[in-house]
Order: sequence, then C-alpha cells, then structure tokens
Amino acid sequence: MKIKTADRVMGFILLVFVFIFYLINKGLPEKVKGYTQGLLILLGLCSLYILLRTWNRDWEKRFNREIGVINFRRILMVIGLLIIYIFGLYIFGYFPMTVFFITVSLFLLEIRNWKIIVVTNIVLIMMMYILFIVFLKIPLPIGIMFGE
Amino acid sequence: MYINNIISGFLTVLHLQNLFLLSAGTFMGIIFGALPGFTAVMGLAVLIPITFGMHPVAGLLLLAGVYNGAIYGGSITAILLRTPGTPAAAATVIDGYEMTKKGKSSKALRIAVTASTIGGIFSAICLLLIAPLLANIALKFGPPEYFLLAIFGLTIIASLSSGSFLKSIFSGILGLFIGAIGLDPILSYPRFTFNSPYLLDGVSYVPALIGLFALSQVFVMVENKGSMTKIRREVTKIKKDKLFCSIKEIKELIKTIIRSSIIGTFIGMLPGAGASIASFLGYSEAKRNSRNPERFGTGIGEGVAASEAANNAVTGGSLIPLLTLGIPGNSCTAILLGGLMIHGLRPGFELFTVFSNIIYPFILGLLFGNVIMFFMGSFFATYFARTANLQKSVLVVGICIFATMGSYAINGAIFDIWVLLVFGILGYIFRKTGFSIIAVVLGIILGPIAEIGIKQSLMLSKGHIFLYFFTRPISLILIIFIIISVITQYLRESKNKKI
Repeated sequence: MKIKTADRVMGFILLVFVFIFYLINKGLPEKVKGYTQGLLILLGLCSLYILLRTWNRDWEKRFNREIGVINFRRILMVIGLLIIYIFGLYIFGYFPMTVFFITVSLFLLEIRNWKIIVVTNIVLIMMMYILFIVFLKIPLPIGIMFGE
Repeated sequence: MYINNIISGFLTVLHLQNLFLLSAGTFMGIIFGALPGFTAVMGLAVLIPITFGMHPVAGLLLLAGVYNGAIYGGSITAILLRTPGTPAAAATVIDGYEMTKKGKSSKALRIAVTASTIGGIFSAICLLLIAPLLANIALKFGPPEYFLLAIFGLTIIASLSSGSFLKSIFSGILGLFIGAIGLDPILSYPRFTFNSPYLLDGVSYVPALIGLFALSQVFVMVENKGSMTKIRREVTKIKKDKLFCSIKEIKELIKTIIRSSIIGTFIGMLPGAGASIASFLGYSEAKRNSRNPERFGTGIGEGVAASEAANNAVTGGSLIPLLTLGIPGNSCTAILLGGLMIHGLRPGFELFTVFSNIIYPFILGLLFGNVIMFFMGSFFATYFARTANLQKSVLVVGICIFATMGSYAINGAIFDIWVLLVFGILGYIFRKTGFSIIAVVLGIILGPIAEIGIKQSLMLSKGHIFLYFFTRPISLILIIFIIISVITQYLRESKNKKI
C-alpha cells in the first residue's frame, strides 16, 4: 500500500471520527465542553490537512512511498481470536479460554508440533497462575459458568 | 537528610526480596533485549501490571532491572549473531560482529558488559546527584507552570517522531483528547463515557500503554510470516578464555568508556534523543578521538566499548527530566512514568521528599542493577544469546497472554482487555501509517495535568489569563522554551520537507 492511499483513508476516517465526537461534545454543558471542543477543532484541522495534502503533486512526488505489505488475513485472524478469547473470559473464565487461545493461535501460526503446543500451554498457564494468583494474589477471571 | 535518604535507600535495596526482584527484572530485561524484535519498551509495557500488586519499591526495582538489562541485552545478539536485539545496539554490531568473526567473541562480550556496567553506574550516580537539586525547582510550580510543562512535554513530540511532524502533532492532540475522557476534573461531569462506569475515571492508561507498545508490535510480528520463524543460526561457539576484563584491557578502554558515559548521560537527558542516538554518537566520538580511526569497523574492543557505554548511560540520564519535571524523553521513560503513576507517585519535589523512601531505593536500584547485570552478563551471555533460537510464535502467544491478563489485573475488569485490544489495533495502524505512538502516550499521560493546570489558571487569573502567564518568571521561561522548541522542530522538519 502507498502512503498516499493510507493517508487518504486515515484522513477521511479521522475526519468522520472528529465530526461524530464534535456532535457529542455539543451536547455537554457550556462550562465543560470548552477544553474538549478546542482539542476536537485542532484534530479536525490536522485531519483535513493530512487528507488534502495527498492531492498536492509536490508532496506526492516526494513522499508517496510504499508503506510495506499489510497481511490483513493474518492480522484479522489474531484480532478475531483475541475477540473470541475476551468474550470467552466472561463465560468460561481464564483457564479453559487460555488453553483454547494458546492452542488455536499456535496452530494458526503454523506450529504443528503437538509437543510444543502442550508444553507452551502448561508453562504459560502455570506461570500466570504462580505469578498472579500465588505471588501477587490477584484473582484471574473465573467466568459466569464457573461462579462469577 | 540527603545522606540519610541514600543510606536508607541503600539498605532497602539490599533487602532480600528487593534484590531478588531487581535480579529477576535484570534477567527478564536481558532476555527481552537479546530477542530480536522484542524491545526494552515491550518488556517494560508487559511487566508494568505485575508491579501493580507489589509494594512501590519492589515494583519500581523490577522495572529498573528490566530497563537496565534490556538496553544491555541487545548487545549480546549484536555481537554473536549480527542481529541487534534492540535498536540501541545497532552500533555495537559494527565492531562486535567483526570481533566474533575473528574468534574474539568472548572478549567482545566481556568488553560489552564491562562498558555497559560502567556507563550505567556513571549515569545512575549523575541521576542521584542532579535529580534532587533539579526537583527543588518544581517546588515553585503553580497551575500555569504545570500546564506549560505539560505543553512543553508535548512539543517534544516532534523531536521524538521519525516520521511526519504533522502526524506527530495530531497524535499528541489525540492523546490529550483520550486523556480528557471521563469526569471533568473541576465540575465532575462525565465526558464521552457512553454511560460506562469503567470510563468515569478515564481511559485506564496501563492497558492503553500495553496495547500501543506491546500488542501493536505483536501484530507487526504476526503479519510478517518470515519474522515468526526462529532465527536458524547457530550461536557462535565461544572459546571461553576469561570471564572478566583484565586491568590492562580496562586501562586501554577507560578513556573511551568515560567519554561515552558522559555522552550517553547527556543525550539521555535530552528529550527525544534515545539510546540508539547516544550509541552512534559515542561510537563516532571514539573514532574521532582515536589515534587509529581506520581500525574502527575492523573488530576492535574500543568500538564495542564506545557504543555500549553510551547506550547504557542513557538509562540514568533519561530519568533526570522524568523524575524531576515529569517529562519522559523516550518511550521507555514514558512507560516508567506510567509505572510511577500506577502507585500514585507524581514526579517533582514531593517525590524526593514525601516519597524519598521509594525514589531513593529506585535510583540506587538502578545503580545496583548494573552490578547484577555485570555478573549475569559475564557468566551467562552465551545462554542469553540462545534465546534468539526460540520459536517466535510461542513468544508472541506468551506476550498476548501476559498483556491480556496484565491489563485485567489492574482493575479486575475484562473491560480493560477491550481497551488493550482497541489500543493495540490503533497502535498497529499508527505504526503502519507513520503516526506517533509515543505522542499518543504522552498526550494521555500529560493531558489531565495540562487540563487541570489551564482550568485552575483560568480561575486564578480572574479573566486576565495572558497577564497571569506572562508575569510569572518560570511560566515566562517555559513559554520561551515552548516557542523555541516548536520553531526549531518546525524549521528542522521543513528543511527535511517532512511536514
């Protein structure tokens, strides 16, 4: 992807984001909204400039470089897995979901050796248990299925 | 009082539990540093939540160990594998790997650890001497000065960024906006909380910080299939001749080490100039002052010593503006600021008076951490290098688990893991598109200070805000600094045409 395309997409998304928050900010009381309104105006101006300069030929000539290949499939895979993991924490709690997360993510990251997967599971889960529950006395999520 | 604080801090560090945590931090730091792709910033970000459940001294000592260890750890793989574990060790590759090729890897490793230790100790002593004096200035600060100090901190954004000036400014303002989410600091009216009780206290900055620095880096690593495979290179077999440098070797290198230590400490104090700049500057100064500059790059110990002393000297130097004025000059110190704030500690005069029982052990821990690092590095450097052969996929999954549970542990809320994920995605997008992550973090951390400062100033000035700001000497000096900082950065960037 080229930086011009990325900046156009980002500039547009940021402008929309700023506009939505500006509307929300308008609903705040007069004495509260001043500071955030100022910040939103500055953000809006910066976004607009980021977007508009992509049409400047001089800028394009100088800076329209490649930003590298973005492997959306692998990124979305990990993000998707993290979303499932977080939702799972609400229901099943830390231990079952962590086993699921470690196993599936290692498999998706092309680790096919079951010994590595099993050892990673045992080591990481034990490490977190000892560190958080035994050492720091911080409880980990139990999940509504198991009593939370 | 000052001497008492040092003695009491010294005794606190020597407590068995504290020594253990300092050693554990150093050990983990060296591993994070030695692993290519894993940085000191990532190590600190992932380990911050663990310190939450600890006594502040214990937690800060762990972080001090990680900071020290990670900066040094980068040199091990730089020397043995020609792969700097951290950007700070890039200059070490030049002569370090050449020495390995000549079969002198053992010598290169012991020079690296000796120079790093001396550099680190030198900068920790500077921190111990300078910081308490500088903190006295903070005593004279009122609301306008705090506001201007926060703004000054934000103006260094441009110097921190290697990319576009405009995008860095945007990132900083975005950080300020994120920092404004939650209750209004004066009127306690909720802003942008979307009726969520979790957002009333604002966006929890530790998960945000882990997301921006650690999770986003995980995404970058996952994206690139090649980076997930282990480095299939054998760690060079080392002939173990000696563990420590001889007196003769130290005598030959001491001038270079001290020069680089001074450079590193000074560079560390400057906002925006980190360990990698110090390392290259230390190296080039050593070359410039050498009688045989042509030998640099051919595998000489002086080259390794110059870069390693400089990059480790940054650790203490960078903490001077952080602990006294609350200005984090680089990503590591921005995270350490989060580590201080998690325990309710705010940089400034109080830190060296009311909380002297915490801050002096931390500073002395930085000093002792170097000694621990020296022994760990001397005895186990080759073992640390072997961590580079670990499967990256396993490490990445481990970081994800640590990051999620660490974020959860802060408030015991799964909501914070969502915050982590959102900021992880934001950090990844920002990394890819040239926006500044450190600027967002600075904005989030400094935002509330700036907002309270300006709102209190408005009330105290009774409508004469400009008069109020311009008639206070420190405030006026800060305004001048801000103007100089902005103009300098703008001119520099316009010259490079990166606006």
